[in-house]
Amino acid sequence: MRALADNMYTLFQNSKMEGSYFLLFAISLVVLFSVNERKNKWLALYPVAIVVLVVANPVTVWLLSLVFPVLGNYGQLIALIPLLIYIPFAATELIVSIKNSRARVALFLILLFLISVCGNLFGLFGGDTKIEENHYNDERKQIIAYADEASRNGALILADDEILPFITNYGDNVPILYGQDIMMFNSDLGILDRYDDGIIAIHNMMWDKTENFNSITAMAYAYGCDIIIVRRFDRARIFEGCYDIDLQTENYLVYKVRELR
Amino acid sequence: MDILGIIVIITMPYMAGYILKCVVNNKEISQIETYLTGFFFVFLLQGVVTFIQYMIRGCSFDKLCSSYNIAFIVLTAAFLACVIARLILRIVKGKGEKVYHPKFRKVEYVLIAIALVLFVGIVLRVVGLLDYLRLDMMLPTIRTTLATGTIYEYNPITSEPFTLGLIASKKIISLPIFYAYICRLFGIAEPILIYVIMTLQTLVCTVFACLIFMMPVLRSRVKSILFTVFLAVVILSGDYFSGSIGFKLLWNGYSGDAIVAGTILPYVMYIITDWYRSIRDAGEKAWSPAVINLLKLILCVGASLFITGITSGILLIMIEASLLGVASIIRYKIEEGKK
Repeated sequence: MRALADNMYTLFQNSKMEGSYFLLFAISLVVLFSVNERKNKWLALYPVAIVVLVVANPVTVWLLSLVFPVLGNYGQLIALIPLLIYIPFAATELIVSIKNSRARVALFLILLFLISVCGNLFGLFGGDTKIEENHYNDERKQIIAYADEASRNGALILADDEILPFITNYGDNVPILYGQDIMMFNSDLGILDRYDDGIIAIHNMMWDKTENFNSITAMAYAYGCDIIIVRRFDRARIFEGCYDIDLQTENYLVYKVRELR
Repeated sequence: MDILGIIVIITMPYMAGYILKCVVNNKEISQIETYLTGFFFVFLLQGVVTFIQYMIRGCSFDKLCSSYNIAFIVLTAAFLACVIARLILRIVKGKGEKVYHPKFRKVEYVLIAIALVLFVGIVLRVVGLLDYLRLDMMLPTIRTTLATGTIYEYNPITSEPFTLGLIASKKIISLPIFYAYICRLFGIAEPILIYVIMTLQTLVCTVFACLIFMMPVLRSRVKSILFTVFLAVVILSGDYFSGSIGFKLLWNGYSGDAIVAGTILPYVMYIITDWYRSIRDAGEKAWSPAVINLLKLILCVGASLFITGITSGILLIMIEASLLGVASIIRYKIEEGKK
């Protein structure tokens, strides 16, 4: 029961209109009902309200997500559609309802500013956006800096797929066992380099949570890997092989071979 | 070639929409709805071509590209035929009644200028952050497809062959294949195509879809432009957390779920809420409005099928359509009861 509640709360957290836009959304409802309630309620409010209350309801989304695993994503997006409709519509109605033209202009500018600061205009107001600082955070920077430093000493690195794109994008040509060419700029199509079966086996084992981490490190050692970077998971902690933990962050474990070759 | 490609990508939906408009012979379909239906039709068409050639006949990427080429030529020829037919009809029958469009007022020019500035702001923001937008699977999938000439045969991350193959619900998603085709045909760099061109096209179509849905309430042109300006600000400022729709539209506009959420779902809302009105005000028409609305709905479902797979996108469209349908029926019953 507790797990169910947690699950639904997480879904709610994911689908709710987080931040100040939620406040704007609530104000929009008040504005729409006060400005022209009779006209607005059927055409603009009820259809979207039904979508929000039923389709984008965390309970519905959770029930459907039991059958369709990626459904939560759509529920979340549907819940946010009203933002696209209610806020601009309420702002428009509010401006049009004012008779004085100077007041209209002033209100227009105020509303533009208000929506901008409630959101994240041009990334100026923080938030979890695609700007570099959020996307490529301090923890990852620390890992990449470690990988850069190790690579300058000639180390070969094995990294799991979660951190790999960051190493290839932000690292300084860090030698890695596989995936060197993932998401390179321009048309470097090196992703088609044929890796041998052993490397493919390592990659598959890195994904497989039932695999013993010792067998991964044994194979990685055979391929001459000096550093292994993995996201924290239980089996990594029990590892006792030819590598030692050299760096720990909140999400990553970095193993270093006992004697750097 | 890049510029030609961009022009074709931008105009192709209108060409497709114009053909549909001519087929149903409905003058009430506005220009933006023409563009929007064409946008969906292009996705449906590429999906059908991919399904037949790849899923049923098992053709290679090269042969699939030939089929896309044929479909593209047919589409262009059909568009030209429609334009010529309309011109001939106009010459034979005369221009008909001139539709009166009120002149633009100063305030409208100013608002349009503001909307354009915001659009440029969105373009600059997307282009400015291009280097940080490379961490998803679409780009390597397109590159793998282009480089190997195969479809879904290699894991784009590891280059390992998919020995067991993909399940049908994944195989049916033909969007990366279509993007790969466009890149090959016009020589456009893959990141530019998906992160800039397709994202901006989805953004514009999102504005169109929301405008169409709101048109019966907005009514006047000034209000429509004002709505567009505020909508642009909401999108531009709306990426304040990774689950927001602004985030999805600004940074993942090329993906199937962004297209479904941003354009198809609002358009489905419009189709359903406008269903009764269109039938009531239809008069004598070659095609029944119910049939046209049904075709629009099928178009949305079909496009969703090929860009998001056979599960969630379609399911939500159907749920949304049925719920709004019931709500609309109740609404009109109440209105009729009052009369």
